[in-house]
Amino acid sequence: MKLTRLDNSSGTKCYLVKFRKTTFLLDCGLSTKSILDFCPRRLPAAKECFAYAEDVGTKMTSEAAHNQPVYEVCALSEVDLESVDAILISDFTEMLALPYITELSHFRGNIYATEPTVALARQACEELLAADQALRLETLSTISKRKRRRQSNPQDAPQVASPSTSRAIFSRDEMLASLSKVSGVHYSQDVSIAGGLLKATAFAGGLHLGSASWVIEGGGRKLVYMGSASLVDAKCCSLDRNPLRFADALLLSSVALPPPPNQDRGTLSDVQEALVRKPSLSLLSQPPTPASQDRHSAFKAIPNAVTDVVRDGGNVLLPVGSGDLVHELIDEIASALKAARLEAKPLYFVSPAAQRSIAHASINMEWMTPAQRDKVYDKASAPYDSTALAAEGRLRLLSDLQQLPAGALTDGGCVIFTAALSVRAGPTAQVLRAWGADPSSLLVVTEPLLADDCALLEATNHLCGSFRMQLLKCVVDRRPTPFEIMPLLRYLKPRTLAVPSELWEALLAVPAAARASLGTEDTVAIPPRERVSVSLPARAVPVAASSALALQVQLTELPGTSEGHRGEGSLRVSRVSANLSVRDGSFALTAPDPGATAHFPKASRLIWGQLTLDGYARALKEQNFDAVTICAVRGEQLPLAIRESTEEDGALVSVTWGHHLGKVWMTANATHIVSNQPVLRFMLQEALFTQLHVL
Amino acid sequence: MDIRVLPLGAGQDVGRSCVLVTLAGRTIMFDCGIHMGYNDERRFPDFKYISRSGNYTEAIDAVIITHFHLDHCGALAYFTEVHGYNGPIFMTHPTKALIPLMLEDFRKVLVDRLGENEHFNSRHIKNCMKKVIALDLMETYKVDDELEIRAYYAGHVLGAAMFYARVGDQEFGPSVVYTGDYNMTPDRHLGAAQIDRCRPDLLITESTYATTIRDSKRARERDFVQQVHECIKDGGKVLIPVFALGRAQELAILVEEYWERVGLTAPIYFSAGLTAKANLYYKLLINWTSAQVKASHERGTNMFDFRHVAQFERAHIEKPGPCVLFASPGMLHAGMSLEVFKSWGSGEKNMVILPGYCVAGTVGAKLIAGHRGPLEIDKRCTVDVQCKVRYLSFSAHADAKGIMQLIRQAAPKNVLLVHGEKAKMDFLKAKISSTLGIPCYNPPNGEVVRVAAACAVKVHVSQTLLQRSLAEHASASITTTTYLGKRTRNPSDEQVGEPVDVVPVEGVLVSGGGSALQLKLLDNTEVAPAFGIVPHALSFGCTLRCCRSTSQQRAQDGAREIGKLKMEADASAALDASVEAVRSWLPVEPDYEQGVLRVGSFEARFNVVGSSQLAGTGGEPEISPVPSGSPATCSRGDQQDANAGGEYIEVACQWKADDAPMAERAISLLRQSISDSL
Repeated sequence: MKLTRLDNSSGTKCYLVKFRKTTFLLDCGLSTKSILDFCPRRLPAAKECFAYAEDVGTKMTSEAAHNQPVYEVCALSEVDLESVDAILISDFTEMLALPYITELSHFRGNIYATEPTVALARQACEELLAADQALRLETLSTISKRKRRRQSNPQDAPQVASPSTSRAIFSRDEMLASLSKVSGVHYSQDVSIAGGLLKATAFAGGLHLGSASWVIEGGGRKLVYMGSASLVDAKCCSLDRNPLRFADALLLSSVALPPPPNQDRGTLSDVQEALVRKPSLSLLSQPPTPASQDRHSAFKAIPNAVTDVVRDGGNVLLPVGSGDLVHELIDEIASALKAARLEAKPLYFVSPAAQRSIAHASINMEWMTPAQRDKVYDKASAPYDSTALAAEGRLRLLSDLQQLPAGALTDGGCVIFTAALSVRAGPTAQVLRAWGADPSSLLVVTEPLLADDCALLEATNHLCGSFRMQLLKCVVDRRPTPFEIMPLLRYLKPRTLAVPSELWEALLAVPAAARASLGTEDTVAIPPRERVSVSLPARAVPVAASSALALQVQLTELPGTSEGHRGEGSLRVSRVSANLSVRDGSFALTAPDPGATAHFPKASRLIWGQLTLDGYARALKEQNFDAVTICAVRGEQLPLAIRESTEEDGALVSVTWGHHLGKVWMTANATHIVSNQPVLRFMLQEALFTQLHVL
Repeated sequence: MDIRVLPLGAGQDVGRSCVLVTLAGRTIMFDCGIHMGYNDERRFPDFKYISRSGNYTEAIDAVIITHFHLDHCGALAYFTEVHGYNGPIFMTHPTKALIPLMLEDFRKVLVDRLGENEHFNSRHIKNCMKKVIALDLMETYKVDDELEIRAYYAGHVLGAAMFYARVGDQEFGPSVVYTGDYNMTPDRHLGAAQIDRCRPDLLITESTYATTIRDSKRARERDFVQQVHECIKDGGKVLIPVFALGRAQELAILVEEYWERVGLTAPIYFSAGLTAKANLYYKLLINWTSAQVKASHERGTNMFDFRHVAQFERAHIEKPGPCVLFASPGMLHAGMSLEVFKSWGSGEKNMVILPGYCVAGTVGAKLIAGHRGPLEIDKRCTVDVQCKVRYLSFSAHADAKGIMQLIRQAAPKNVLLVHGEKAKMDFLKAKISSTLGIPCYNPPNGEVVRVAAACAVKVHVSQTLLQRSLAEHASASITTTTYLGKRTRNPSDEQVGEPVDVVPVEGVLVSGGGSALQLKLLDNTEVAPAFGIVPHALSFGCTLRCCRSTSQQRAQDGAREIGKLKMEADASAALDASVEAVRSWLPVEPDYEQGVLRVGSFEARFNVVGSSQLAGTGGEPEISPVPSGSPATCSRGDQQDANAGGEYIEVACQWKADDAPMAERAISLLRQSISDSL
């Protein structure tokens, strides 16, 4: 199996797999990190901030190379997409590059993703398109000026992602056309790839609604792709572990990495230090990488913080986007507010996908935990409270900020959920402009990408103190940490473990005691944009043998054999001639037609055992040969047919039968019978068979 | 291996569906319904057939409920709580959500309205539902190590599913599909039934409309809304008795759309309680409806958010003015629909539309039969029926065409009909046997049918053997190449259906010693290393020698072992001819160069030698690997012949035991052809 990693460690995933003459892609993510390369025009003190960011070496200005936002797609141009049979998607965050593949290439294969994944991807795309639009409006007007300066000084030009992978955003029509080509699947539903050569099955991943681990089987071998696993108990179906066990190869990419110590936004910690010294901004940041379960409980701190702020008349902005996290947050915050008797305070969900997100969240109980399902079964109420909140009017769904009731931003005690792509543009930036100077308001950051983006806000604050909002950084990353993944791997017992190289380094950083005895035979680290081979064992293929064939078989005991080392009792064997029928890549054995024997049946026989000259001579004598003489022969004098297989010395047995002559050269493990008389040859062979086992 | 089928209900009948199927030691009960037409114990399936001991949990491995209609699930709580079945129960998510409503409603009508003894109570229903495992469509669920079930979309009602069950691995174990009720044409809120070509050994299908080919649904829908509209225009009230779930929602969508389009304002009511709650469930289960409803939900409108529909209250009965009322139950035998009928039935302007089947004896059935004038409903109440009565069948069952279509799709080896009237079944049975050539059964309740299932044995074929067998016959066909490299993408149904290619396989079947009962089919070369035996190599050799001979001698020699022929023609020409003869006979092109012919391990070296050379080597038999060296004589007889002098064609042969049959045949052919050509 050949595994090519097409992403380059920017957080998205994309793998090209060649397995059993089939080519398929696992995920096709789109990195929106490049949004961070743009500088907002109207954020407080943008200019100073811009300069500062440039000084500390962030990539904030690389937009100078382009006049429009670009996104980093995996190295799809290196792949002949026409030869790709299928794309398997593990999570809605990992399929945003799909329009580039389906609409802008010759790809003609099938795409499989779970049904909620497709729906959530649609919402994510709507938000991405809106954010892109907003960014185009917000991009600094000074681009051209800066660009000129850059060109005059090419050495300074920041390293821009290679043009082959940077693309402008797709259109909405392309997105819709693309998503309509995805075949929605259910968990545990088998789909066949390349006409049945492979069978792929999605199992619950646990990260988001509809997240899937894929099990791909073919030729008796099993490949598992864990692209979106989580061990945290959320409201979506939790990780289905058992089907992932005993894989021949496990490709694991769902691990929360600790923040790289030497990231290119290296000044972030400096900024933070500066912030801590500055009393105006209360940074409620969480410790860097607690275990995901702790991180999850940290997430529980959000409703409390929101309630406190709202009680004091402050406003809260939560850029979380339209995943399933937003519904969990809405549920938690609404019930916390209710408990604090603040249910009159308005909640707004501002996103182009808000309406769709709420509608969709109410109808997917099949993809959630039994507790959520019981809510539907027993009370006929939607699995998320957000549905009811929206129906009651407590939660207002707005596609953009213009629809916000007048005064909502200034009245205080308002909670707004927005899309999570950037704090620099769109509704999020608009709200920040309104509330940025208000120290009683709170910004809650849950997205890792946005946490990076907050460096900008911090820089703003650092420089001019104009940004006074409280900031609660509570990155919700439910993927298991390297430490947590170890017991899981021990349980799954893959034969070969394949992981992205940076993840492998993180796994190696885990204390040896926790790493011990994973039970895998082999580990393959895959560097970005590299191809690795994973050797899979040749496995026997289960084939259905018809009962007619089974009845023909007569098993005989095979003396002196045992199956490997654990054999107790001897094997029972039979020689079988059958017809193998091939259909959809699967096989069946049937009894051969009695009339139609093969043109030249091979008389393949397995002959083995201990041969003694005496015994053979005795057997010959019993067959009434006229004369039997035995003489020793040196190895080099033996006929070539024997010398091919052995160097030992042997013996020559000469017989006569009437006027016919026969000679038999023999060594311990080879016999060569020579006679010009077929009957004599046959008799010599039969005498031999009385001494040996024949199958 | 047989599949044993025992209908406990719905055998040559409609109602109390309950079919017991035993496959390879696993027993599954499909559906557990009641019969609406009976009030005695015939209402329930005959459970005593299951097991004499009455321990049903032991006798049954799984109960599968296809959908929430009472004739498919009505006896479930009774079976689990009163008869004590404690094993797993499977159904789809919507069925699990909606069955408690149906059972509770049924129980209430029975006890509260008809005053019967209750067979089960509310607590029973709750406890029963706790045993239910809900499944998603197409999900493959392993009940235990061997038994696997899968649900397919069936249309009919929300959450209705056809179930596939198999014991053992795919293509090995016996499999069965039980359709429950299904609908092959999409309707207002549900899609059409779909099944893949799963080739079950047995397909158990409903046959409600075994003899009917139905007209277009669209026409019936248009007819329906026009009837309603006309009645409303004249100021009449329309009563539509429906069961709470399914038809009510479908017709409400119809009416709602029509109201929207035409701009009508007359109120539409849903009778209280059950129906309102049912709508809530429908809203949450959009995923199980038709693509159309799903799409409009995507756009933000939930089709089950009826804007024109209001809750019906008793006061509305006497309220003047036109209106439309959906009220349960559907057969006008009790409840709100009957109560409303009592007061509206005598109004000439009013109309009753019966959209579904009514059991004989109910008011609904009497109306369908055309009753006019005074109708005694109970001892206290007689209604003078003057209203218009319409019967429009909206039954969501497949018609004969649909049933045939489903059978074609699933490609079963046998078909068994249930859930239909006997006469109609017989007609369909004959049709299935004659047009599809599939054996078909329709047993009555309590009669066991045994269907032979082609049972396959699982053999693990080694990759080496598989690759070699396929490679040897690679040129033979398309599918072999499918396996070996070139792909056929998205094969159509036709391609999938046919076994594409057959290649011969020769191997050694090994049954593991000890406990591991696994059959392996190995390549010959793999056997010895796999089981620690050193194979003994066996090879053979001989030399043919042909010299000039008279025709008499030839006749004598014909009976002797070594042909000895006078070289009358050019020796090398004879040699070429014999090579050609062997070549034409062999199925594969042999290697032939520099006087050496090779096929497999068989090797024949041709040489022309003089007698003088021969004489010197007499008596030393050896199959010389180098033909130009000392040729061999193989017996004293030959040597004597050799001394007769002249030039010889000599063929030194050697082969391994594997190729012995071919080698022996080739040698006799060689001899023949050389002697013929000399």
